[in-house]
Amino acid sequence: MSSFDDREYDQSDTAQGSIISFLSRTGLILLQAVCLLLLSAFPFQIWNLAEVRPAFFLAAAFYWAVFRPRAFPPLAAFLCGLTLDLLYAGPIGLHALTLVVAQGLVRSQRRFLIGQSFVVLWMCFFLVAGGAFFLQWGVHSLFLLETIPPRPLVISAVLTGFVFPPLSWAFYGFSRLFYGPRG
Amino acid sequence: MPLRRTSKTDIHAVPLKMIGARATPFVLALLALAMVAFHRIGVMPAEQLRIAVTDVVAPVLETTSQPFVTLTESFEGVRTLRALKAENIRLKEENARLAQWYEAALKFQSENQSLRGLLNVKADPALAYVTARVVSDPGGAFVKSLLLPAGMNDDVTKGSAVLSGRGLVGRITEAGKSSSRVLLVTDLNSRIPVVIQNTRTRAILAGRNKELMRLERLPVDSGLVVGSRVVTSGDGGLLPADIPVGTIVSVEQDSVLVRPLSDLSSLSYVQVVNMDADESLISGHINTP
Repeated sequence: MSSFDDREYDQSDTAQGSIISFLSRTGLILLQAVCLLLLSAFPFQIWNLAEVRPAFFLAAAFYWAVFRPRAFPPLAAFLCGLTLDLLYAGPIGLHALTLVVAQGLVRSQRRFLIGQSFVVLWMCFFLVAGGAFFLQWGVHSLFLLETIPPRPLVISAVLTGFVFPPLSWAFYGFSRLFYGPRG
Repeated sequence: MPLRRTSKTDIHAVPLKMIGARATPFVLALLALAMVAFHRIGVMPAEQLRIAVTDVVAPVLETTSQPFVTLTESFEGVRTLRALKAENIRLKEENARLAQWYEAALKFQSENQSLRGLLNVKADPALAYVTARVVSDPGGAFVKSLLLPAGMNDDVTKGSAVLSGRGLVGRITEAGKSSSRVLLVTDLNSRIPVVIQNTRTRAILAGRNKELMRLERLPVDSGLVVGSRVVTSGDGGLLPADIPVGTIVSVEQDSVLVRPLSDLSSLSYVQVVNMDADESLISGHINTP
């Protein structure tokens, strides 16, 4: 069993350091969760984008699972997913499941992903987004015992892939803000 | 790169911690799956939980989305400025045509009133409207729903019909204190009792999560034609009767498809209709004195 996943080079040797680190971690999670939640619930009716809304939280789960696993732990992903589930009108637990599964998968491949160029990472994110939407489609169809038309889902998955670069840039900014210039 | 400390306590502590860290995603994934299952079999108070969340989120969204709405509206204003002349001509023509219809409608209205008076027809219950701005359209590809910043405090109740300027768009499925959720007519779970306007054929209009809806429970040989209007039948007493919903766009052997009158993908304001329905109309048990 490798200790790679949980190794972090924090300055949290002292008690004070660990409190600050804990607070900044929690602050980071809360701040980005609120931002992403607003994006996820924003009335895109105006731009006819409602049907194919990208999965913003998936990008967050992917980015942090690769670059700083402890900044977005599984419990945070679960709670964010659950909030989305309560806000949306689908089965409760659906987004929580997708986020936790996607994050777990990415974490297990972190050793491979962390050394890759951004383009390779981006392609991997496309794969993860496709898988996540397929999982959501399957679980939701089972929930309704009826096949949901898959077309908007495919478009959503592709759109999710395309929002990854700007979002990862934003996460990088978050990361610098909370952890200093080392990002 | 600092190396891991290899003191005795650490050697014993690390594996347990590691097992915990590794197991968490599995446990959470199982928990989420269990939640989906519990929601399916109906042992979770899903509606109450949702209402609690939307009551908090709807006012926040109402405030935060305001600048964006203003922005899009001004963009829209600039865009339509160019088409103004053509639009003006079209509207003038339409106005002339509508003026004739208005005269006809006035004549029919007075005739209708006097005939109703003669026959002593029981009037339909009076309808009250609440207008609200759409603050969110959560659900994306799976669920067709809207979030409104109006709830029971504004007399919005569960089951009320929701209209746009052109016709029915959905029904209130959850009503909190200050927010409510609308299930659109195109949603997979939406079933609306309707009647075809010219033939008076009764049917159920079912959403399919697609642009078009399907008519179900049609009588055999109902002789439907493309272009017929579909209106609510008012059966069950939950929705007011004769609200336009859509027009038939295709009639085939095994499926009749209906297009909603309003463009459901770009709704910004909707009206919630409150009908003081008689309980006995819904339950079917009429109490005789």
